[in-house]
Amino acid sequence: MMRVRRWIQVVATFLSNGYLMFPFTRNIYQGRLKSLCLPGLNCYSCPAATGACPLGSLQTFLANVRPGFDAGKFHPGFYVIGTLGLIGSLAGRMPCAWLCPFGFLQELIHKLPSRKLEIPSFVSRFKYIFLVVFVVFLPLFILDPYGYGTTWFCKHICPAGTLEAGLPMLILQPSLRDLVGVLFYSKLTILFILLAAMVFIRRPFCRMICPLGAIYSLFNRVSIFKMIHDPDVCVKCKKCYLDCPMGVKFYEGANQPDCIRCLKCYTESCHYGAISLEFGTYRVMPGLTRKKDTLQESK
Amino acid sequence: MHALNSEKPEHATPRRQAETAAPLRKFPLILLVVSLILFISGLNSGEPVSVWEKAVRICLSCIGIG
Repeated sequence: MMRVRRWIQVVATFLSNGYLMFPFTRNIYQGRLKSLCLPGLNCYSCPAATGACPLGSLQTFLANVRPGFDAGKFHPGFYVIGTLGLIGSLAGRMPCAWLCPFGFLQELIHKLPSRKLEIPSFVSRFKYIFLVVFVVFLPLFILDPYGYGTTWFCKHICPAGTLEAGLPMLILQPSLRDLVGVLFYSKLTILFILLAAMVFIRRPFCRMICPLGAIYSLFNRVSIFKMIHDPDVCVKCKKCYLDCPMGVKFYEGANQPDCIRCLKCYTESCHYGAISLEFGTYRVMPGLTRKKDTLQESK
Repeated sequence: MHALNSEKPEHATPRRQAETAAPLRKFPLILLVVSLILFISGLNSGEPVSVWEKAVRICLSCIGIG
């Protein structure tokens, strides 16, 4: 199953960044697909990007909502919120594990041999601060003299934008290099700190910073697809926690905000059938019955 | 490593698991419908065009130079 996930991540990354003409055009893709919001974090100014970043789009709507309203156009971003709501209410945070190119990158970098570290659990709440402050509050309320806000998270923090758009575009369009200043170097520093952290910590950006993951995580407990934990069967061996790419202690309860539903705990870690999957009212794969034979064989 | 030889309680049946998951089943559907309504109203008000207009221009903020 994890091999399937890896292939899906490869395909999703390729589909999100499938415009391969950029070395010739030296520009970003400008086709109609760019009106679609991608499910994962993928900068729309990446020269190969085929879709729009939902987080960047949401910030843009919020930053322009006041002047738009004054001009008779009320565009609060229902299209983006609806897209995220549809994905979230169906699958919760699942796109983080299966479809997000930046999440995929973090998993690959974490495979580099090194001493692995764990972060305190309270740090994972920081992403909600980034969501509320940088994605909602600042774009909505800090306005220029003309009434326009700015995309604060993209501008000051987003490492995906620096990696996927900043560095390639500076190579493709040398005229942009003249504009490089303190802001670019501060974003570059954030990127390098995070790249280094990815070697030692499991998915540090997803767990601590990502506002898109924070939005999806709000749906984890109420999505149609759910994971079920049976405390009566669980022996708390902590194998699920040790294997988890997000460091989630599944044995303490299912559908925690940081669970990205990669299903590694279900398919590989748990040998006791304490984990099962549910889609709506339909039990997709009841863990106890499926694992029973395996358990008896191993005795 | 796993303690593979530990005993499983007999009362832990799939039915019991299903009972614990039951209470929240209506809310996801309500959430799905609300999201669908938001999505369609966004489509009708022309928001995808706004997304496209933003996405086809090089975002200087995203790059870190604007």
